[in-house]
Amino acid sequence: MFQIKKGVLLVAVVIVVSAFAYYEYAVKILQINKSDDVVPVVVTPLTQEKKVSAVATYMATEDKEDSLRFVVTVDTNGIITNLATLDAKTGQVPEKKVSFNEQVSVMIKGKKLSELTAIDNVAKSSLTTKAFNGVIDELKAQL
Amino acid sequence: MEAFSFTGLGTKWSVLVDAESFQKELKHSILCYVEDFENRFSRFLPQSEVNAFRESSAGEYSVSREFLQFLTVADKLRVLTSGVYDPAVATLLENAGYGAKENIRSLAERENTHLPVWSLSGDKLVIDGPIAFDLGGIGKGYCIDRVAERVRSFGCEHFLVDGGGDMVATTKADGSPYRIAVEYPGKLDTAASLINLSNQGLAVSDSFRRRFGKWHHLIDVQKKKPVEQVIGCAALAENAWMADCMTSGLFFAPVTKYPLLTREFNAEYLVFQSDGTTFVSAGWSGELL
Repeated sequence: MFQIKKGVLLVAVVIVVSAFAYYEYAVKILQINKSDDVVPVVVTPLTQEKKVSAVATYMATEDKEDSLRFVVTVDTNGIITNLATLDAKTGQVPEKKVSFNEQVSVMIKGKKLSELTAIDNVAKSSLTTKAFNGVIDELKAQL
Repeated sequence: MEAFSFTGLGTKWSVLVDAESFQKELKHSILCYVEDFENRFSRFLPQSEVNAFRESSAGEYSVSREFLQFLTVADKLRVLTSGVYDPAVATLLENAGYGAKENIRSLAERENTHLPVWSLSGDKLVIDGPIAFDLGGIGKGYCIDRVAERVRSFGCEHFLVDGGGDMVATTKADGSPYRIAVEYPGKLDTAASLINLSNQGLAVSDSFRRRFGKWHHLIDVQKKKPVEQVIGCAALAENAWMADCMTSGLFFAPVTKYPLLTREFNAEYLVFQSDGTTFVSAGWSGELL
């Protein structure tokens, strides 16, 4: 239930912040003077991306209130390019959200199994089944 | 520590128990269960339940409770991978020549190859015509957990069940974890990670073990060709079945769906990509080598 509420809350905040960003940076810039006296309007695009944010409060548990700051980055065309979720008090990424939001990209070289000690077992993909072996030669012959 | 090894589901199994001896009745119980499981769910056996609908017309059919469990989790994977994973791939492969006499290369050429459509309606299977299922990637982990239940039912509290490289383990009798090396995809003598496995399931999958020419067994049913971006993955979960399902999801889902997979199967992961990089979930407890 909490996950659903938080999800709905997140969507709502994004919509509100998006609307705000659109109003602030897109509508005003593109607004055209519709008076009869035609005056050339110079449309000036944003020269740099902008960040807008909003704080949302929710019940983390039945008796504990928590708050998150949603930071939306808008590019020069008014398009949202990034959404960050921060702890409203510390400004840091909440620890409990890291596992959902982030994964690490690394380069793993590996280590020879013979160099490892006290191994009980090796997790590896299954070897080819007998049934598969039964058709593999036939398939190879056709390639 | 006593070990019992045997062949089942076309692969090698090893059951380690922290006991003085391996009961004869337990061995018999394990062998009977694995043989029965294979008879019911191997797509290579014509009388199995996954092949029961090869000649069926469109309609709604009853299936066994276990088959329904498989189809339910397969349906979740199908959604999470935007249809890239589909157990109906068995029909597609055979239409293209896998296991038959036609040329496997025609798989890519047959853009109009019909992938049978199936869905679940309550506890019924709904199909649009003849269909065969391949439970590869979700079946073996389930079988491993059932074998573990049998080991436990014979009074063994400390054990490790290894079904062809996927496994589930308790702790050892002294409370320490089993120390498991995760093989680097395609490098038989190299470990990518070391895990202290304790009351968890672990599954590993790669695209190297089952190959024929340029093809391997993990087929993107949307593109009608083998998956190329991911070359291997490993998953840790509360049991072997969830870990096995997670590896299937990791192979077929885009990276952006990994958090959803993590939540669905309550699993952590390592994903090896073809460009040499590895994605590691924040909760992966293993040591990276």
